Amino acid sequence: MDEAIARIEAALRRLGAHTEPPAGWERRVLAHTRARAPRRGWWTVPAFALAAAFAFAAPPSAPRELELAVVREVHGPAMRGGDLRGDSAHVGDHLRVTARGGAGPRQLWVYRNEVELVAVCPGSPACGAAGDAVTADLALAALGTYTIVALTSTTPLAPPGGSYDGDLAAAGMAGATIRTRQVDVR
Amino acid sequence: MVKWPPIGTRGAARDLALNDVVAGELEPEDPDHDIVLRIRSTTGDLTEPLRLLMRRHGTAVYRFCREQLHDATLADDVHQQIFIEAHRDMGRFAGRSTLRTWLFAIARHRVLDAAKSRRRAAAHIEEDDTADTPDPTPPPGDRLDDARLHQALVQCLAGLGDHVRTAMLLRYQQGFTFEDMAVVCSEKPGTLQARVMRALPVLRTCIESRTRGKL
Repeated sequence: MDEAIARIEAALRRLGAHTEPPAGWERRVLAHTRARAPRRGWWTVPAFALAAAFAFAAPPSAPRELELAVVREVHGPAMRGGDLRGDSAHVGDHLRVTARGGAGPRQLWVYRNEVELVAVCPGSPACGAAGDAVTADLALAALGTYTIVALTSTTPLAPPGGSYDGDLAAAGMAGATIRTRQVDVR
Repeated sequence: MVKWPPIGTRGAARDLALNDVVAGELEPEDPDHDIVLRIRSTTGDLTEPLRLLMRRHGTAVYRFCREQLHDATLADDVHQQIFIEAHRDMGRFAGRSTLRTWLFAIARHRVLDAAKSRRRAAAHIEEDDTADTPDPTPPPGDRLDDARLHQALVQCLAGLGDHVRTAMLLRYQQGFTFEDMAVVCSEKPGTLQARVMRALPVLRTCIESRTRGKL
């Protein structure tokens, strides 16, 4: 190939190689998507749980889908200064998490900031059971974003290693059904 | 066969996407397989797949926007808009291409729209890349060095039509195959290949005439 053309091609490959997006751009995108997302308050969560309970009581005609319910229990004043608090929780609140339905045994993995494994159910002290459901009662002891993952699989899953991305990718590749919820603790 | 988790309550469009996947249309070789899995398995909130998508492809998309638009402020806006749109449409991603190809199809549309709007408004084009770059004219008899080549290349690329520049950037800056470019651009691979091959000598002539240098 013509050396001049080869130089041009090489220069084209290097175009913008040292250019980086402006700081904070990801945060701005997320803020925009959150502003556009339909707001669903915490008060809808118990309704989901109630509906799930009815579904659980009825004789199943087919395998039910995996359901993940998260209910926040406020310890202390329910409304601080009249603040409805939107979708966020505070340090000291509790989360009552229930995973039911799905094919195969259920598990709950809870991460803080995607890197710290807070609970693995069954197994952790916070875990419990109600019928075929797996539950966890989590005290929110630190600020951060808590990601609650419910999984079910007909094949054994590798235990989580503490990296949210890696753990979920592995579970997904193993054929697990996954549900996730996030709670910001501010 | 890849077994996908059932999809939650995301409506008919999402069910259609699942059916597409079950029918085997998802490319199992997609390097963003884990993000696609996340999109399929997440009920309602697609923030996590979006975060991963931004982390993995944010810089490449930004570089594409910058070189296409040659305007930092406009590129910043378009770049964010691309990911906002990706988040909006992610639930309908059917897996007929890789996620990266799908993302760049969005990017191409938004960049071309922005370029068209700018032309309509006859806006000033910021030549920020030329501020601290050397004089493109080399000393007589010298071979053009890389810095001068870069500067002249940027200027000559800006002189190409939008669709030609898009093809050049997708091919070289982003490393797409002509087949993937065909998906991004909704054109035939052969058409795009011919466009790229025709553009290279045009760029050479432009660079040599601008710099009066030897490539």
